[in-house]
Amino acid sequence: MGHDEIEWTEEEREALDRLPREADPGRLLEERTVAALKERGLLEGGRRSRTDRIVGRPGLGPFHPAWWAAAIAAGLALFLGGLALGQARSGITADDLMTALRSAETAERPTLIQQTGSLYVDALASLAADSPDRETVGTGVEVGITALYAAAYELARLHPEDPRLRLVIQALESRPTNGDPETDVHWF
Amino acid sequence: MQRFGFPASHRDVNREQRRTDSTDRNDPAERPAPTDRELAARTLEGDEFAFRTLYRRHTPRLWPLLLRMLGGEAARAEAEDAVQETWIRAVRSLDGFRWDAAFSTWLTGIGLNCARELIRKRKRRSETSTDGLLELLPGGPAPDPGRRLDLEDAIAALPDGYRTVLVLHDLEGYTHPEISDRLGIAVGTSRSQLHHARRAVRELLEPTGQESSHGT
Repeated sequence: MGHDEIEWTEEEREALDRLPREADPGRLLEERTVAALKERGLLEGGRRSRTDRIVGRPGLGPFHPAWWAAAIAAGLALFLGGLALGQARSGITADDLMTALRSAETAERPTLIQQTGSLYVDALASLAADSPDRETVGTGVEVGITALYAAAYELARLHPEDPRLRLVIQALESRPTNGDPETDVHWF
Repeated sequence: MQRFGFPASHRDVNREQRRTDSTDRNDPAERPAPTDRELAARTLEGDEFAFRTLYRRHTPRLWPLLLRMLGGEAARAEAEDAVQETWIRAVRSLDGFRWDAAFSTWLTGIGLNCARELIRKRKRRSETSTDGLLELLPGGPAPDPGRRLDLEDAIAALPDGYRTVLVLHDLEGYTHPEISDRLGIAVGTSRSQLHHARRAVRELLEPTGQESSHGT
């Protein structure tokens, strides 16, 4: 044949070697793919059924007070590490942290996440200390729980095998709602 | 045949282990990461977390392959469709996968089929698109002199058939018999396509009368 006789030069080979063999297509494609699989019934469509199956512990149902308390405690524990250590909390704003997170070295990020968690806890503590009216407390709790859910969900993506995270997510997904879409969903 | 020392990635079972190892770095408890087979079993049960883990483990490898096969960034939307369709078909077929090959090998095969189907659809929409090589070869219309092509651009500019063989052979490490088997073409056709593809890439990277730009 002789048709395969064109060979790359060393320089050309090196250029080919440098072409990336791996790349991230972006989060949107993942979400789109998951949605497509759900539409086709290839993945569980509802969060509740998914986590019910994952955790599935008889006798400690999703509305059981002990379940709820344990789940919230486990979720808050994700943030309380930062509060307990209390590193560099004073004078740090959320904007400061987000800016730092975006520019931080990988090794520094856990510390910054810890500080962000501390701010979250501080905000809740502040709400409690100010003794606001019932409506404000209700809104604050709802938003706080949604933030907790969002954080737990992201953590579960990082570490899907962690049973604590599944416990938290299941409890949060199965909590009673008041049927009002305006207050039932505070998604980030 | 020069193989450039690339791993035969589509057959590289060890790659599976490397990916598994890489997920361990995110595991504070240093528990062993779930295997592809475990994740697949849970995905079959509808487990979204398991699917996402599997997706994140394998899509970074699948994505550039399909993107290049379909023509680079200009075909990004098609490549996204191909990735999505690949996973849909994979999940649909998981039950029948016998695990006598690496999951990545099997997934890549599905991806290649999806990409080829999209290319065929594209050709049906515009039969003239396969004449693109005429613009790349000596005597054809010159590329825009104001635009400097890099290697990725040059590969993307190839006609679909040439680009497919070049990507599979020179970037993915497939042999001509494997390409022949995968694409359903003769081995000689694969060699011929590669020959023309390399020549066209050179022409694109080294326009007549200009300094060599090999490897840039």
